[in-house]
Amino acid sequence: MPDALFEGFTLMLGQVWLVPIGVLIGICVGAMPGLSSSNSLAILLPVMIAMQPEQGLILGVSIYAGAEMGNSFPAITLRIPGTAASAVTAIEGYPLMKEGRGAMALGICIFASTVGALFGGLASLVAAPLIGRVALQFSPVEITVVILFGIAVIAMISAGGLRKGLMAGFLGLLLATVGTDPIYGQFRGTMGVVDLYDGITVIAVLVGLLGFSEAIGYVESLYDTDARTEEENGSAAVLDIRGMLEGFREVISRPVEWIRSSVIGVILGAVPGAGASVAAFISYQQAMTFASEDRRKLFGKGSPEGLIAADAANNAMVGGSLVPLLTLGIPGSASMAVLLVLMGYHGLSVGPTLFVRDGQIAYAVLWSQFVGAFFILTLGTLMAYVAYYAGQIRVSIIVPIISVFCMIGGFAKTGALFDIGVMIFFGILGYFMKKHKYPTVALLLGLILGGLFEAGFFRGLLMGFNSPLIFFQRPIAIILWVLLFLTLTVPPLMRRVRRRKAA
Amino acid sequence: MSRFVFPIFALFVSLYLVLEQYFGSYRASGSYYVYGLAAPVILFALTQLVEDVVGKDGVLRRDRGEDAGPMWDWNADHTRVAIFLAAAILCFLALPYLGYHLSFGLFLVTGFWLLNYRKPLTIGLLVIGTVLLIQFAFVQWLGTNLPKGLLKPWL
Repeated sequence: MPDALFEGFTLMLGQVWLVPIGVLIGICVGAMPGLSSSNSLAILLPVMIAMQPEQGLILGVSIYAGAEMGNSFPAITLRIPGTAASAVTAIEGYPLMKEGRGAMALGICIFASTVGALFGGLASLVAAPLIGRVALQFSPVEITVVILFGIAVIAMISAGGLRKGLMAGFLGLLLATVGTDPIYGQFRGTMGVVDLYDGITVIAVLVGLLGFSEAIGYVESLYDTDARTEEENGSAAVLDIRGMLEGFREVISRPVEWIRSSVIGVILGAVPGAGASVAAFISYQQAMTFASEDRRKLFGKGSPEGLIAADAANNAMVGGSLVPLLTLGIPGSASMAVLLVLMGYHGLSVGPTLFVRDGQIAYAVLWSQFVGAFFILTLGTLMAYVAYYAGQIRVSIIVPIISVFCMIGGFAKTGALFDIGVMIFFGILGYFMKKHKYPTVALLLGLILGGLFEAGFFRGLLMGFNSPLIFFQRPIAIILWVLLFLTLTVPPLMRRVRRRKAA
Repeated sequence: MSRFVFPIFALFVSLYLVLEQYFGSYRASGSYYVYGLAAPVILFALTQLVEDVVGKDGVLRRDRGEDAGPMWDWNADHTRVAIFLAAAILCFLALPYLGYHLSFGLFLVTGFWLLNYRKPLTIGLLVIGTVLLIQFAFVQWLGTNLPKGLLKPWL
């Protein structure tokens, strides 16, 4: 393990130049309305595939980390939360901007994001290899149950409810069967279309569900930054370095807040489906609970504690979400799903064996977070002005250009025009899914892990001499089933009890 | 009505795969894998459809109310989305014939116009900039083989 740890560090040092590029791209796309970390990663996937695996992954993680902070810039300066996760930042940051303390708010956001990223990096560097070692005990039986567990958790957390989530997850697994049967070599669900003989191209689906569907959503809402008044936009003139340093000091003076928020971010990042928004809101709610009476009154009116809580949790979540991805091959969020596809395309061993076979690459990715944190601090401070103007770029300019890049993203890897059609189809499907609260991540997770699930299922059956009872006999599998059962039953029961108590 | 799209798609895919396995030329033990996955999808999709039709917020109950509107509400938003999607599909279909420069250029112009951005000079610059970016970043650097169509003799 220590060998891989050091090899990973030296491997990362060779590719360290990609980190500032990734963070810079992330900050810019995060600051632009209409672009989030997941859809920009999906659009840039062809670029990352063209690179070496460690380069693509380091770039991807850096973009993700940069975007999580970049989202906060328009939230503070323009009250435009690019994602649900930065909604809390908008609630607390924009009032400070209106008071003329925008620079301090940005300083808090930058420094809290930096400490959050450092904490997340440290936690993932410690936890991932340990969990990876436990995961090595997993046989195909456990892997099958883990995938089911991941889908169930995402379904459980999804806003539309368990049924919609499970429907999307199982449909993803079913769509993964389209193509050539890996055991019998027969075609399944191809409808005679030659382009489907190798299965549905995951990249095309991914770009459609994450990128193109967002573009359609923006076309429908016709949301535009141009409709905002000058007063609403505030002024870039208040963004001075002295104010930002004041924000840094504010974070340093409140270690309890950022440590608590970072812990929440790491834990929720590691839970599939929870994501940055859940982490930010829970951390914010905790900050409110623990605040003194007079400080609590500031929440909603520009509370530094609220800002620290949201931004530290947001960025610590990145490190947390790398843990299930690198140890179990389960992506916790849409952005991680993109990185999983990237790993698959580079032929990396997705799942528990990653740290054994490609340990140095996994460690290089984990180490890159520390460099990323440094660039979040430096580039974040330098980019505050640029991000302020990037946030004012009209959505009507960005959306058609995103759509064109989505088409190329769907096409680039395979070179088949059919895949642009697949991208458009899944973009439309994703638009309807989002509109009616079906979790797109669950569908993606099913589709991406479908092959692994099928292989695990049949290998498990072989282990049990064709008896499905094997899935309920091995100790780790039993623990996972119990956890799965508790995950599906306890929250609804708790809700019912709480409702009864309230009545 | 758009709420029915996903459950109907889920139902279609699962029924298609089940029927294909059942009536197909081979019925290996692998069929049971497909049946096992399709069963929950069919169950969830059907119950969701029933709820969407007759449930608390279902189409039938909602439409019986005094404020019930037409089932297909073709207001401006939906028309704009429909035109945008039609433009995207046309762009995809025209790609092999017109080539990526023209198809993407026309799609971008349609997109800007549809989203109420109507400054000809800026649009022109944006279209040329985007197409050049695609040319250099994707076609020349990444080697993406985008169809050149009509412009092939000159490129």
